[in-house]
Amino acid sequence: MAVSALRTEIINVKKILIGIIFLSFIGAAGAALAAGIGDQAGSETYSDPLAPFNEKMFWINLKLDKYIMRPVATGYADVLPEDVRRHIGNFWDNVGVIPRFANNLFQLKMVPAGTEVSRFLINSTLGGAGFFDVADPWFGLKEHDEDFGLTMGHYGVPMGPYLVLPFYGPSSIRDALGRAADGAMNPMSYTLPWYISLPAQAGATAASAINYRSLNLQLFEDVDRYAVDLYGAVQDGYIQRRRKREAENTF
Amino acid sequence: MAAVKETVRQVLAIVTDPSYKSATSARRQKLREVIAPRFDFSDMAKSSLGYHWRTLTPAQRADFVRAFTALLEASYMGKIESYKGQKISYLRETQDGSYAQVYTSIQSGGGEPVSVNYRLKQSDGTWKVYDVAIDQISLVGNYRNQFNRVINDKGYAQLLAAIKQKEQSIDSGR
Repeated sequence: MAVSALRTEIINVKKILIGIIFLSFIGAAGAALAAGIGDQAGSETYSDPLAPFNEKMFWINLKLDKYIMRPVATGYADVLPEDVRRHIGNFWDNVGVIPRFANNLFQLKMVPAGTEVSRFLINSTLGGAGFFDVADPWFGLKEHDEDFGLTMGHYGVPMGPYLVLPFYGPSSIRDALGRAADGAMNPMSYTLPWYISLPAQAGATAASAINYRSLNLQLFEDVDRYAVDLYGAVQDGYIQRRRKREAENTF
Repeated sequence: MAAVKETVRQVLAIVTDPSYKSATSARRQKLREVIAPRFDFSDMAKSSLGYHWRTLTPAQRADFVRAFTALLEASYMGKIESYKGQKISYLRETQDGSYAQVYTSIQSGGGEPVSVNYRLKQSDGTWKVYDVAIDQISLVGNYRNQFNRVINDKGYAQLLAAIKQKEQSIDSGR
């Protein structure tokens, strides 16, 4: 049963995903965005119009984590000591400078945008190709994380309905579009032909995700252990943190 | 908010006290005595239910507060007991009338520090914690979304059963 059921499930998910992409192109997403996630006040839960899709995707992501990500990350953590994995995390972080810089710029945050450039130059050289974050302790230059979802938020685009993405997990209509925009800023995607850049970017995403997962083995377990309703806990965690970031961004 | 600092100090003194090493239930009792006066569990339980609280009878409310408190205890006592010398820093505090917030961060290993902010309310001259934000996520708000989803899908009775079951599974797992 399992394989065919999973296949039907994936086909359903595909259909819904294609539907969403189509809708967003014909501008219906605008209406969906206006509807918004909604406040907790009235119904006490977030409005979740995509819940049937989201819950399926959430379940698939959990399986993906249980049978692939977690075992791989655990094996990886057995081979590489924690401090080495932290340096690898720094490396991936350093590589992701372009969307951070661009989105600071888009929001007219000139000083943080400049800081991102300085951090990249310092860490890529003195920090040994980005494996060491020396810009923070030596020069007091802290990272200013921004993404295109937050940029859209900065200019008044609401978060839109909650959306669970395959592999990436919790997101929203707006933030998923933002993620695509940030991905398009990756130099690989405009300097290399797509049949090289797509697998290369997927490989980089997988490698950094495994590294990240290996550094958060306990954290993931804790959430699972303490939550009464895991979907609701993850959904709320995502929305609360994004709202917090947005509130910091409006001034 | 010296009260928060003092409570954390007492908690750390208990968990690092070697004489409790083989007396976990005595230690838990001691922890409860220190923590209970500082946390307003019934207020936390009430706001975690949101408007559903109003639909409950006084007896149901008391039962829910007990179940919720037991869940929090089971969840966080285990976490507190696994304390391994993580560094706790007091960053700042803000006060607005009878509401206050104490910002702390916990540094474990070489990772990023995790922010833990205590939200307090003053009533009858004592400051009590009514919510904790861990890594920017309000604990009570997070439970509220979970609880209301379960109530909307399956009803209140199922939620109460799920909370009790979760608490037992955490307790038996330690």
